Amino acid sequence: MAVPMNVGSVPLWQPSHQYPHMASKVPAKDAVIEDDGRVPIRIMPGDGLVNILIVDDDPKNLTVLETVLDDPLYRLVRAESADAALLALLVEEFALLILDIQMPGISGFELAQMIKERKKTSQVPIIFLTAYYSEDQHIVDGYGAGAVDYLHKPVNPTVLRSKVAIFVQLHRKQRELEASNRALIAEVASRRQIEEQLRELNSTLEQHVAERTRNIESLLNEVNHRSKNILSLVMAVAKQTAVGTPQEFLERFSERIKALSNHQDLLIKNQWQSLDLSMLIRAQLAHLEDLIGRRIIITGPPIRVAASAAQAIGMAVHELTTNAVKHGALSGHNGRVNMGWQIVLGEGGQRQFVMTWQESSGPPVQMPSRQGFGSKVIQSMIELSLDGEVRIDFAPSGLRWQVECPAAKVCEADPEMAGNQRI
Amino acid sequence: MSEELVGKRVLVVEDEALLALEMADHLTAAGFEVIGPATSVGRALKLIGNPGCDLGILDVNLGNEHSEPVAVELKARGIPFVVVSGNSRTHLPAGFAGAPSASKPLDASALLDLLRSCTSRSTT
Repeated sequence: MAVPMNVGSVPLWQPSHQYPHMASKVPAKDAVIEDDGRVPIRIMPGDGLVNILIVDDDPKNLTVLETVLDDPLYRLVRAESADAALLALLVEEFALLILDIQMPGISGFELAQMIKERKKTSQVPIIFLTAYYSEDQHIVDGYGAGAVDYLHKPVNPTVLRSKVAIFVQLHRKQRELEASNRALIAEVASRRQIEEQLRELNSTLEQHVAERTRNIESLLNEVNHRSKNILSLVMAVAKQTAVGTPQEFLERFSERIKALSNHQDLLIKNQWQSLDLSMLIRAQLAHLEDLIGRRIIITGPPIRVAASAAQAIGMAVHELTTNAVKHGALSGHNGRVNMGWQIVLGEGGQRQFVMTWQESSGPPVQMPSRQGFGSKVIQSMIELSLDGEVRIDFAPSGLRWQVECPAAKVCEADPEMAGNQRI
Repeated sequence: MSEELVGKRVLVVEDEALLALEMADHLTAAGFEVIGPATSVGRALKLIGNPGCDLGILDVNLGNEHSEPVAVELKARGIPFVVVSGNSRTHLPAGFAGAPSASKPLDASALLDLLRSCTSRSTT
């Protein structure tokens, strides 16, 4: 049953039959509530509870307020003086203050003024409760002090509850807004961070792409340069292969281009670095492979030939071989070719590369009637390429061809080149 | 072939021996006296000193080196020269600036035209 309670001569509550539970004893407080008169330690309820500060110098009135506003979502904090209220406001955040105006010492109005002046608490809504100050001027004073509402005793519990509920809801909404605002700010910050990272990644990527592009450009330049050289070479070979009928020309020209092509394959396989000399020679003798070791004897120490010299040597070996097959030792069934090379010390003590092609047991050798492309390759081209000297002997017993040049012209990065002593 | 070019000494700098020889053949046939061919910078510089030359034909890339020092030397001596390169003109190093240039492959008549353009430039 609803029981009207009196504060002084004015009852705090109007009788209300709609809320019979109000007559019951003050319900047990939720565990989180430390309503023992001391200021609770917790700053904010972490369990979704809303703090409401109730201020009245009469403990009985506070108890009644607790009864009326009993709600599992509210946490009521009692203050029996303005000082106690200020202390509570210092350490806790409140959704709402319910303030008795008539208090000894600091009045409710003065307290409200102090609360509104403090930045931290200026936004906390206040409901004034009073029995005596019902004049308009007092209402104005109340609002002037920053109050949001003003209720007279006796207070209708339903009205108070619904007003409190509205403020609590307002508080919740504000908290939600603040939370989503914080989330938004965090989101923006994290996006900025991601954008920054993306920018950094992008610039790194751009650097990589630029570097690759430079590499590709330089590679393309190199390829362009080499292919132009090869084309010039093909042009030169075509011009110099000026023999006989178109059929003969085509045959000789194709052979020479094929030889160049084989050589190119070998160079690419060796990544345009040095080549093993015997491998280089064998590449030019591929079509005579079954003769190697029987009629074609190749002897010499392992030597790695610089790419620049390799082409000239390869072309010379090709021309010598072609000539031997057509006119020389490899044209019959018995002739032999001995091919060999070595590094010797020259007269000045310098290391010299000597390579010899010796034919034997073939048909009698005749001096060629004219200086063709082949002659040019095995003589002047080799001399110019290797900075060397070529000796050709058309002895009847067999052609002998020999080149002698500085070893440095042939051997890639010869470590023994410098400071070689004469023996 | 214009009269004033006959008998001129042309330094040929080209590391591809066969091309150098072919070029030399064409030049000789056209009435020039060929100096070289030189396949390296060192050899070319020696030939410029002795026996000397009146004109130069320079390939840009000589194996692992560049013929730029040769171009610089020829310029210093006021000897006109032309540039023959596997690369397009935009890639020519600064030392070759101002010289007429052509891209490989180059046939004989184009080479002679190039030489004529270089001597006419040097006289104007």
